[in-house]
Amino acid sequence: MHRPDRATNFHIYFLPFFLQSISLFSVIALNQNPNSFSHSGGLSVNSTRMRKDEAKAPGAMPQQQRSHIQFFVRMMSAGNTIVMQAFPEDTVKSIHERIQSMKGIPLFEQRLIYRGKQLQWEQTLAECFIQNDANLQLVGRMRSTEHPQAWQVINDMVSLVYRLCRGETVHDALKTVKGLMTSYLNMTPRIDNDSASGYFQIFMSSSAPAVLVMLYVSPYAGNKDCADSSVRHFLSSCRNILSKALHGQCARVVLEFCKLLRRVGSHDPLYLFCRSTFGSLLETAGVSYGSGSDNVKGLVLIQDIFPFVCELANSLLRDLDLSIVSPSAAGPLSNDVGDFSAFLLPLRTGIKEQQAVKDSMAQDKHHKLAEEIEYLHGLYVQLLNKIDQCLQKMDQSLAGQEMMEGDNLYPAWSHYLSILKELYQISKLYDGAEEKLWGVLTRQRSVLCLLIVRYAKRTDEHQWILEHRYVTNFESRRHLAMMMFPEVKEDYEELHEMLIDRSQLLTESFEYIARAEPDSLHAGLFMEFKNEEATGPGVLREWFLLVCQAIFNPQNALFVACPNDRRRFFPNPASKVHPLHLEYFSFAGRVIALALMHKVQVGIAFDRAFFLQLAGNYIAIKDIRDADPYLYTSCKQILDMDADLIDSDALGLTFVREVEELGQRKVVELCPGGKNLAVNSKNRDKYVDLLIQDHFVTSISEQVSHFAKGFADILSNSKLQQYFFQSLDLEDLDTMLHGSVAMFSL
Amino acid sequence: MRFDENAMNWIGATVGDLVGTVGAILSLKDTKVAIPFTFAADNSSFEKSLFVPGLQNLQNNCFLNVVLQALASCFCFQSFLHGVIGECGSKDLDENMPLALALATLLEELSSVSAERVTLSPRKMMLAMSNNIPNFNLTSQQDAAEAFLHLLCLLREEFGGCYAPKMSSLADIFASNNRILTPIQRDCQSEQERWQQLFLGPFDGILGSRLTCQSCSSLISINFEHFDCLPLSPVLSDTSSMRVGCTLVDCLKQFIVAEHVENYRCSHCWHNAAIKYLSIMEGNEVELKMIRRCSDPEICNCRKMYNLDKLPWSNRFSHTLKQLSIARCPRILCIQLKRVYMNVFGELVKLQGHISFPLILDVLSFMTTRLGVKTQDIDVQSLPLNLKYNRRNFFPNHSDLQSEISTLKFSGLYGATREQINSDGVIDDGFVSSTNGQALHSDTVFPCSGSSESIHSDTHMQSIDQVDVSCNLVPQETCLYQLVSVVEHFGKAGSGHYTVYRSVRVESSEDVSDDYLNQTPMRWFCISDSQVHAVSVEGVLSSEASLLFYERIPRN
Repeated sequence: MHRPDRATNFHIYFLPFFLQSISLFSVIALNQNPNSFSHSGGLSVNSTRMRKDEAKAPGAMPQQQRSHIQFFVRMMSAGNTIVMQAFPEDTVKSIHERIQSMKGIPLFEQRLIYRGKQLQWEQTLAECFIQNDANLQLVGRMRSTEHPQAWQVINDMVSLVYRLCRGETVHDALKTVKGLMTSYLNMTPRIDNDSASGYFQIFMSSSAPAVLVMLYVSPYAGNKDCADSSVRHFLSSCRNILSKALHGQCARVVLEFCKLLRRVGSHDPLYLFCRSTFGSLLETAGVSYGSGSDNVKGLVLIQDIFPFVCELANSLLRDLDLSIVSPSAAGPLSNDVGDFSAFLLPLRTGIKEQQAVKDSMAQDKHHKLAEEIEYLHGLYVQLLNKIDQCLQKMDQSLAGQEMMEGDNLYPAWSHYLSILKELYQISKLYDGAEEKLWGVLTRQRSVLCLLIVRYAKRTDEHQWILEHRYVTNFESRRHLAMMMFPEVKEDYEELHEMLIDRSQLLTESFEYIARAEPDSLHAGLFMEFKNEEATGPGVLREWFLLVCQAIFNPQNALFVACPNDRRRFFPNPASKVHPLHLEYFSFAGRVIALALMHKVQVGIAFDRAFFLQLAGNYIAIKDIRDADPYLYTSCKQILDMDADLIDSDALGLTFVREVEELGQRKVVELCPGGKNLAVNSKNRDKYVDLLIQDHFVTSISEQVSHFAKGFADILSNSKLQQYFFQSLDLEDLDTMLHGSVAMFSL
Repeated sequence: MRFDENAMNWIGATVGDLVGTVGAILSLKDTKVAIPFTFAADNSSFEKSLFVPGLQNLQNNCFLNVVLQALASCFCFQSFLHGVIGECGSKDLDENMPLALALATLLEELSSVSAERVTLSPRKMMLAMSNNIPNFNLTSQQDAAEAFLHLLCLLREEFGGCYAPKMSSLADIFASNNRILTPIQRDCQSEQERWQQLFLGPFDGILGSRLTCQSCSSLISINFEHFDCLPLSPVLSDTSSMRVGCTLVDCLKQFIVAEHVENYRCSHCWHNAAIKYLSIMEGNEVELKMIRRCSDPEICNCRKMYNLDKLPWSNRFSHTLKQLSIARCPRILCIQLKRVYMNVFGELVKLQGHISFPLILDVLSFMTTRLGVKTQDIDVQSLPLNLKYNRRNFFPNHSDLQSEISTLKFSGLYGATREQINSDGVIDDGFVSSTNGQALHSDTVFPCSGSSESIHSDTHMQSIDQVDVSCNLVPQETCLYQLVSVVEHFGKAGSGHYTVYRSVRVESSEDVSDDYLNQTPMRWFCISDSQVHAVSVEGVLSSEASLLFYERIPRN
């Protein structure tokens, strides 16, 4: 009983479909021309039928066959209709494929709808009841999101802001908007990947930046403040809360804010804040140097950064003009200078990369940044001329009064050094630009030195100035060198405390200084002698003098004095008699660095060879004149001797050196096989060079390296040890360590 | 209890089978379906705290949540669901109709208004839905209109499986569907009506399509197709942006405008050309008579005649016009605005912009009540058609109708054949002669108003008596729809978020049953998954709509 009912249901189920599908007076076309078909199946079937027809006898009744159908497909957006032919046994997927080849719409984005149903791919046209002259609708898709909660939060915020723009009064609007924004930012994935990019794309796709800017320019009361606080909250969160890996994504959103706010006004405070945030984010964000079509995901284009450079350059030029006319004017803002540097860095990097690949790329590709390159050069010339005028004006204002008086501080002057640094960076990109810059600096040498002494800070980098040291003087060089030391603190809690017994001065000082962590010494020293009440700078200065006298005492076998100038020292090659001599050289390096840091003159000086080794330079024959005058004289005679005489082997010299060590003489070869190699006129230069290297460099290399290591421990950045000595002359160091020039000449 | 009442109503309907009775019952049902809130309307502080339930977003299912919320605002859809479930109440509901049962329960909960924020879960419904759709993944990013079509399709499959005909004999069923011009029995009509009510529900709209060839002045075909969702294209100013000030009525006008279809084969034109060709070439008289009498497309063998091998033919000689119109208005009109298009770079782009839509929509001007072809240009040939129809309308009789039907059949049953162009002069001359000598055939479209619920057989051959009755019907002046839901999409074509604006009726204490629609205020809510807040009518009308749901305003 159950089976017949099911059959009846099945039959009734399809009956209305059949009734619905009957087209009143519909046309059924027969035997269409096969040449117009683009479907291979149709061609095949039709060819078969034609062969059958030809095989039949004339006049016979033709066999009935299924016919192809003609139907309409209404397209996606414009709504125009196309005619398609197919066979009833074709699948819906084949129709999709033909639409793809015809219109270029991907298969998975097409939806064909007929009589209220969406056709499935695996069905045939007959199963879908498609008849002649059927009307199919092609519809696209608008998909939902992978991050529904983020979309909800952003939608709530956008809707709330829309209501505020329409003039509605919302209770506690600012708190709500900020809360929603914080919720959105807290959802952000912490690792930079496609998911994070999708998250920030939600912020852009929902037009949140445009809506907030619309609120900012809204005429209703309170809306401007609400928008201002919300945008600043977003910018601060981008800079502080989110990880650096996400700064590339944030930079694109902030760039959108900048573009919108620039229309409000170039001097709008919110725009300036937004621009600064964008500049700081660029330090970690990736920058793409391609054109607009190469829109790499998560990267900011150079073309987007360029307008900011123009803006800030114009602002700087205008402010420099003001500072020329009126010296008491404020001059460029520190924010402007900082932003200018931040935006200039990726632009210069891009131009440098373009120039690197210039030879290997086609000519037209080089023009990607042609506009930027041209503009930057013009900007360089303008800024250099402007700075030149500023420095001249500064020189004039100083001419009428004493150079070293401290009453003439003008606020505009503090930014000249930063601008000069940027000009130096730009000059590297163009030929001939560096000569112009150093020409200006040479002419304005005295003013430049004054700027360095007054305004150079520890946080800046000034290594560029010392590439051409002739534009500096002792005062400026000393100032730059002292910038490498940490600042001595005033708080007693942070000082490194020492309690020294005078009778055990060297031993106890070694324990306090050599065993300490370098960081604990950066704050400074607090010195006290046992059984004495005195403390303060005087006691510290006395301690430095006593310790240096002990370290450089020849009886301790650490350093050797020069024969002609007993105040100059170099490491003792025989210091290895003391088992801890290398530790003591580190200790000595630290003490010298601490003395310089505390500006205490300890009454000793370095030999030139020792100084040059600390600077990482090469030792020549003229450099050993003070350390060993006898060796210097001997080498000079060897080099000046007549060639015939030295070739006759009258001196009996070979490539060896005799060393007297602890009462016994030892022969050291200067090079492999040196014993059997006679010195002649051709190799005497090499002989002298090897002799000096062995005598002054090789024998004390360990001592020098340990001294340098100890010295570097006290610097803020230990990598700057060589640079410290390179930035000074030997005379500069003499003045800093030993004392005044007058004392030196005595 | 409500199910029993609905079943009793439907039994009464089948017995009575009168338009007045059905109208009365429908009015009564609408009154009962209204939300029974009795507090005063002027209590604004209490009204502001009212909320409708939100739906939980389980995984990327905001596209389904907006469809469910939109359907919850369609009142006749819920009554339709309850009616179907009530009629099949004797069977095992959980086993046979899990989706309909879960959907009815969820929509009933979504229709309740309370002072507290409530969040419902569509999980049960999604489970029932995902078991039957192999290609539609509910846990990934999807399209809301696509989810809507799949939902209706699944409901019909469930309803079709539970349908029990009252007549147990197959012979009776077959007899009732004969294409003989005999009076249709009442029982058979009620069976048909009952099935249509169960199967189609309130989404029972029908699109009419007329295909005419202006070259041979013949009506090629008339098609009637059911639609659930009307896909309209926005009016574009150029290929990539929407025209400013585009309205929904503009989209509807663009939808029903007559469109020139290229590359369509008109078999009537081919046969006329073949006759002319053979006449000019002095072909065989037997073949000529055979072509003239060709009336069966299934066995049409004219293309294979020996003398027609060299007949030059191209589809460009046919000037085919196709025009759409609404043949029957559904009780719930769902309109989808097709915002996705393919740009010149091969990317799918979403058309942004606001398309203004009215709260009250009149679709009478887009229905099949006029004659002739509506084009933007004046079509001269449509005037004789109108005149001929007006003349014939005054004297309806049996013999004329029979002759008309026979002529229409004959003129539409020709097929086209191969295309080659040998002599343009001969073809041009032939066509001029053919056009002059061809008599114009009248248009025999019957006025099929969607509001005539007593006539359901739009796709059948109608009897002479029915034709007489329908010709005498006075056409209605308006066909009005009320906006009940708006679905909005944020973002791009590949990824975005769906929200919905829906309306809820809150009755005032002064309930007047005669014109209660005028008294009942419509309150609108904006729902983003589980976030619900009240909005104004202006806020709803200013949204960028993707889906619009209109419900028909019943006429008393």
